[in-house]
Amino acid sequence: MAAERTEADILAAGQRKYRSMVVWELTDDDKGKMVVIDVDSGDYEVDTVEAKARDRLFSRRPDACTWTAEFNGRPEFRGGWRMTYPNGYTIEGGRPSRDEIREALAEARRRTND
Amino acid sequence: MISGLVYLTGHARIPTGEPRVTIHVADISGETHPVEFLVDTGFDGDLTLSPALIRRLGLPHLRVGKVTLADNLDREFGVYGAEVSWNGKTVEVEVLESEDDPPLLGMAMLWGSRITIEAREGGLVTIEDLEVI
Repeated sequence: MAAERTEADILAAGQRKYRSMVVWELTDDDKGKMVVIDVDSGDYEVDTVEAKARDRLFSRRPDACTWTAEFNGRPEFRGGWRMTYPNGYTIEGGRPSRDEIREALAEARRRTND
Repeated sequence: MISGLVYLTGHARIPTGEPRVTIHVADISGETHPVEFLVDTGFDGDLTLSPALIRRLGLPHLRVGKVTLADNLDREFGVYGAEVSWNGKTVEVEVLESEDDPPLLGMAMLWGSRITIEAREGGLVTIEDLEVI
């Protein structure tokens, strides 16, 4: 089963498990450690040495299909409700057209190259 | 097709989340940089970016915008231009200066696309070009 998958499939599955599940179970003590995840079950092991985490995970799940990440802490929550900033905004002179943006970018590049 | 993920932002009693996608934004030398955006259908523009990132990318300034916030005070913000990769094409977009974190991707950017959101933890977000479907 695992052999039929592409690296991109494993990467996507690993990131999904990592971001949606694993990061919420790790603590500040795990910061900087390597996380080896079985992308199918979501089972994982954490260690400062990736090979040790890998060995422990494979001893429990010999058929694991793994993806590895370095844990750098949880994403932060914002408190309260989001007030979408640009709602009700006005732009002096109206919104720029695609052509105007294209010309401004070309002009800025010319200036940078000079 | 552009794909992203739904991030959990609520808690056990009221689970909710944010659909996010990563888009490549070109700096003034033409080099592209991945930036993660929150898909916000309540925002009718293209993109927002932080002032710091706008400066780092060297984006050209086009206009001054004004917004009235909850405290009833007007704030001014810059409107910039940028080039981004979008469904395999390079497109020119307006960028509003905003401290929103993550920055926002709005309806003007999504125009002409079909967006699907699996509204659950780790759900997939996909954006497809309607002309290609």
